[in-house]
Amino acid sequence: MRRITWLVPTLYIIFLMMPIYWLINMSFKTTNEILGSFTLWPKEFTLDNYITIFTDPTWYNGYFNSLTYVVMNTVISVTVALPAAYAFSRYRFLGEKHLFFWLLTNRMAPPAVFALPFFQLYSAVNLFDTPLAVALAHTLFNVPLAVWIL
Amino acid sequence: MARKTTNQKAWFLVIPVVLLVAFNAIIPLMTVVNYSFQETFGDNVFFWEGVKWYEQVLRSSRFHDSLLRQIIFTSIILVIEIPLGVAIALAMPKKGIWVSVCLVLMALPLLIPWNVVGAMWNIYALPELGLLGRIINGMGFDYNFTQGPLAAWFTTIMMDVWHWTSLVVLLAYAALSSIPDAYYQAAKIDGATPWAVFRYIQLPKMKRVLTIAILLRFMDSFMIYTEPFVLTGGGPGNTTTFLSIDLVKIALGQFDLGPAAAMSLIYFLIVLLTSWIFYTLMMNNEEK
Repeated sequence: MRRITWLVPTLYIIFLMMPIYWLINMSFKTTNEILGSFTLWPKEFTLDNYITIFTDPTWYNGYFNSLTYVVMNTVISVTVALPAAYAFSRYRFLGEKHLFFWLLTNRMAPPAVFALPFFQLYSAVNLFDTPLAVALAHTLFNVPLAVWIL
Repeated sequence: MARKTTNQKAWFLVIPVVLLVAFNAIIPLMTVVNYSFQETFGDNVFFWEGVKWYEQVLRSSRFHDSLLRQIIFTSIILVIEIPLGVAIALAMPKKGIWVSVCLVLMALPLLIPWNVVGAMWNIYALPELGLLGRIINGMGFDYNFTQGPLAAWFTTIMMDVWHWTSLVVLLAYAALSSIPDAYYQAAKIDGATPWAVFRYIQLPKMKRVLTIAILLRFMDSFMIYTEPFVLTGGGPGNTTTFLSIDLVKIALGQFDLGPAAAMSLIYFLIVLLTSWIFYTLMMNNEEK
């Protein structure tokens, strides 16, 4: 009996690790090896893929964009959510509960519903295709969560 | 927690959030409502159409199909992930160094961005090149998730189970570890069977977190977009086109603003209504 209980989490963790292992495995293989043959570990161990990522601007610009976006998003979310979270936890005021539930409903909204209007709203205010637009759009889902957790 | 004082000036602290969310939520939502009642031929010329789009969407077999697929998908996800998560949480070691090792390893999938999960499962499940594809084909099944609908479903579900079961495990485990030892000792003295211990001690303690887990999993799987989009792109054919994917296809692919807007609102209302029912049931249970 004891051995069986020990087995369940182990099997589950193996199940979890397999795709991750495969991803890491692939990242060290040459393209030829990935496409040409099936191997459980890299035969010709290569760091070329990583060198490409860090030297080719089309690749590393992606990281800069992500970083800009993350920083902006965090700054916006925290600056507006912090005072609100304080107010919700310290004070009772008119419409408090309704306001809180309304914020939560935004968390429930399917992102796809907002895809179309965001597209047009940001085109209209000349924000389209900028990291700021992405950051702003995402605050819709993050701010309620931030208020909720803080 | 300190007692709350009534202070209407607290509104000033909430104003930034309200403004930002209003800019982000109310304007787009009203735009959607607007489109859903009108017809346009470009150049910002609009004609009032009434509820025509709603009728069209509600009658279209395309919407019925993706809604049905969505409901089946969400049900399968819940039926697999919740019991599996609870079972794993029950089998977890209670103390010692292995607890943190298990928890960290299990939390890993939760930290991976959604599109990476999709891409990762794509290469993992490729019939010729991926590990999973190789294994399943090696067992004698004809498995190719880019062509067979059944295989595509299987892969999508496996991916979601892989990504999110850990959330249920972590929540259930947190609830389990908050049960005092005295409960188990009392059960032992009474000669309770393991099933009785589960039914009358562990399950009631987990009820609250399980409701939250079900709610979260329902909402997220009902809105799933990125992962199947990256993995299968909604195919083969339309077999894994869930509501979100279908909606984006109509709205940004074909620019059918009216039907897309009507569909968005129906979709939003379904999620909102179900979540509200869950939320109310949960609150009622707590008051008892």
